[in-house]
Amino acid sequence: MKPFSIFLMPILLIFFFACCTTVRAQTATNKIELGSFPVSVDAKMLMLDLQNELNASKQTLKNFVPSTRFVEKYNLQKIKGKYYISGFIQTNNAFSEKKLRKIKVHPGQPSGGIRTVMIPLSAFTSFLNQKGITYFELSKKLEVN
Amino acid sequence: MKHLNIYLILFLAFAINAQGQENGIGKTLPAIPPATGYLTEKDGLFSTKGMSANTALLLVDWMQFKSNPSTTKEKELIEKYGLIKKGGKLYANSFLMGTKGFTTASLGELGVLPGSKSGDVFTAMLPVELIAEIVKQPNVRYVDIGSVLSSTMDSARKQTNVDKVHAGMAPLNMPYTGKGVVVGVIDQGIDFTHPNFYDSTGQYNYRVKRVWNQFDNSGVPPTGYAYGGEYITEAQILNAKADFPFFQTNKDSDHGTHTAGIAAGSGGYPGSPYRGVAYESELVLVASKFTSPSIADGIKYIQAYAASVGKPCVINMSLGGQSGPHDGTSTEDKFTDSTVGPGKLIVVAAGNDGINPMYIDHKFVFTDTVFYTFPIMRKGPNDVGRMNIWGNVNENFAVRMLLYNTKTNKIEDAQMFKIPATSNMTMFDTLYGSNGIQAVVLYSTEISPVNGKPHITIAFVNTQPDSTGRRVLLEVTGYNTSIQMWGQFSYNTWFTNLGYIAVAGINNVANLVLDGRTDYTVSDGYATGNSVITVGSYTTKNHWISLYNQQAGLDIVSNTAVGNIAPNSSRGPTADGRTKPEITAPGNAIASSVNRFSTLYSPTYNSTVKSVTHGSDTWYFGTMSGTSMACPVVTGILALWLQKYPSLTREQALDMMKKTAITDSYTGTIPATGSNTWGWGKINAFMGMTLSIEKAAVKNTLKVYPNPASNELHIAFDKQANNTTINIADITGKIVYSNNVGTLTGGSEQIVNMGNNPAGIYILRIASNGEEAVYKIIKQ
Repeated sequence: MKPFSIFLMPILLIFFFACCTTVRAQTATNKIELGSFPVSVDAKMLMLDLQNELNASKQTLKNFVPSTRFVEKYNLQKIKGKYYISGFIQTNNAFSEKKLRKIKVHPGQPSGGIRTVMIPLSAFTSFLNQKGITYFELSKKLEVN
Repeated sequence: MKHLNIYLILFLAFAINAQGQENGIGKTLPAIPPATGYLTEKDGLFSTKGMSANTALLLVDWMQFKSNPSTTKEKELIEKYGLIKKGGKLYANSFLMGTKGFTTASLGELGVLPGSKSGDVFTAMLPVELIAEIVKQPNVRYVDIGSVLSSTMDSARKQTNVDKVHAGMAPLNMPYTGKGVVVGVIDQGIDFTHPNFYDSTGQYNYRVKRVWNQFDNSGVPPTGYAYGGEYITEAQILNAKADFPFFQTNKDSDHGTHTAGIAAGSGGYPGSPYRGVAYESELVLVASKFTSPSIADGIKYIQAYAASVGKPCVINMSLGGQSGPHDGTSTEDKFTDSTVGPGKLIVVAAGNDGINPMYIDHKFVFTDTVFYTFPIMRKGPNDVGRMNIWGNVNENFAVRMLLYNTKTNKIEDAQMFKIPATSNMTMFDTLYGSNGIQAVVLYSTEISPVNGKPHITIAFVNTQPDSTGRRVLLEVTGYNTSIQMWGQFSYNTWFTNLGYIAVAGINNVANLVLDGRTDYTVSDGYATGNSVITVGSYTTKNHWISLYNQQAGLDIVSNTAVGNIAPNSSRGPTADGRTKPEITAPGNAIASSVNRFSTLYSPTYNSTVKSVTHGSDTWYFGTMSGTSMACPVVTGILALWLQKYPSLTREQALDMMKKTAITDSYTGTIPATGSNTWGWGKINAFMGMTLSIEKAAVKNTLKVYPNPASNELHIAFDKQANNTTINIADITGKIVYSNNVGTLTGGSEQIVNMGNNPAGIYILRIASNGEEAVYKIIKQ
């Protein structure tokens, strides 16, 4: 191994462990962590980026204004001044639309146990701990073909 | 004598033209002397026996050109007849039919350049100066130089036999126009005001019934949704004008106006050649943000409207991506599975990645445990690259990224750990070149909850200047497993081996360096779904004259011979081996409506082909190319079919397509399992529509053999068949055999002599006991 790489290894190790997301119940308001259900790889990327932007901004999620890069990268929508994350959820019998609406998440029409959702960025950590959701998939950006 | 005749013809043409310019309204014609007889062959300039009318016209023009040649006239001739100049000679790409045993090679002495063969029809390049001689050859029966197709929707309609459906040609009992059917279009860049969305006058009977503009967050969303604005009344829709604010900041600002126009445009003015397919259908437009959930919402929205008015619907989705598993298990595919059904169809564009080397698969066996590839970005090294790698259920693979100096042939940095797909984590890494410049990599892994497959997505930015020769290199490792991987569409990531066949220096083992491939490139994000119909694109036009009177043609990416597959039409199969696309349709240089509120299609733009003015406003028609344009051709055709069969299912529609699709020398013979370039061929709107929806019961009692057939075609009846009729039609719909055989006892057999019919495809329909069975017969 080259000296350069040896020098880089401890840094990368620290970086590696610092950056890996962990599966633990969310407690603090500013910690973006997986909750009660798995999420897609894109959603994991969003969570990592969101955590980094939050840490840099020193804001709480409630007041957080994401960067333009973040908005574009993760297809966030700004509606009446609020930022929303969109995606699909898969649900089980414990799912409650009412509880989802209580935290201001907007579910779309169901199709085969799958629904679209619009999640206010400010409610994202609460959303990650909702019961009755078995999977969250962040929206993908498509293009004309 | 011949010169005299030319002058006579020219004089007559001038006189007729002059008369035509007179305003004859209100005047009466003078008495017309009766004709004294008929002209015969010997009265003409030359015999046109054995040639098409267009071939004869070319010869007339050729004679005039030869008498007074000039560069300008030669150019006019080339444009008028689509001639090709090769080695200083002009050639006409033509169809030839010959006597038994004829081949185009036999005309080699006359400078004929052979092409392809389909049945007894040959294509060949004929030297124009020798066409008259070629026609006279004893083994040549017919010469047709074909015609230059105009850049209008009419060539697409003609090629797909939509015109015959509009005309209600027999055996159809009425014209079909899409009336009573809802055509939904989910797209971007939609001009709601275009005359194409009215009736054939372009001014009356507005046909757009609902619009959901997902970009309009100042509006009132549809019930049950939290975003965008819904326009319900004609006044609301027309006042909104277009999908503001989307197209003001985006390049694809005409796309939706065009696709909707192809599927359902009226033409925008009387007699317009730009008429779409289902021109009397109702339209529901969703101006979409093109995120996967917003499209899913659009599907439900359109279907809810159709249900509310009790009409069948077909939805056009000329969109896609490449990030999913491509096996029909993605969340959007599962969502779609539950939305289709009788009278509810969805059509999706295959994608335009047929020339993009963005796919790799690899099977790791024995000592073959690793491969490498260089991911590159089409937009340049500083762009964000992205790729998705999928493994098999209950198996695993690992990746890492390296920075490779192609000039020194050295690895300058490498991620120290391999990242297993099953590790369920997300992490950043930075790769440093020896010059200190970095490449940033983001990995995210999972065992996908939707299909149980291990999956890694990698996003990266290599900030190394291109000139340094430092490339990111992907290493994929596996043991007794296999992977499939795609570069991501919107990030334009492709794979290349940069000419390397191996990488030395890693554990001193020479390892594979793989190039990207262009198969398996049908888009994910709906197109690879199990419940949609996916459409590829072929060429019916490759050049046109613009509104500004400029000769224009397809770009190098799309360009291909008329009749051939568009090079960039995405190829199948799906990751799980299903045939995609299912069907192809005209998609190159299709002319339809464009957005008057965007700036691209100006009067001088070379893809603008027509303007139409109603009152003080002017709108435009222009050409676009891609599977995006082929998709709405099929959507419109399905709307016509839904008019006849409102409960048509995807399976029935597919069966109709398979039985009647056009095959030719370009498609070749398509196997029963379909082709991953052509699907089951080129869609045939008319022949598909002449089929009744088949009932399985009658078919189970029949046996038709042999197929392909040379002479006799046997139809065996296992059970008694009452009121039985047997009809055979050729691919144009012409009945070549019809027999009402009444009641047949079980075990009886009917024999049809096909010996007198030319080779080709035929549709056999057997009606019996009030049901019908349909077979595609190949006559050898």
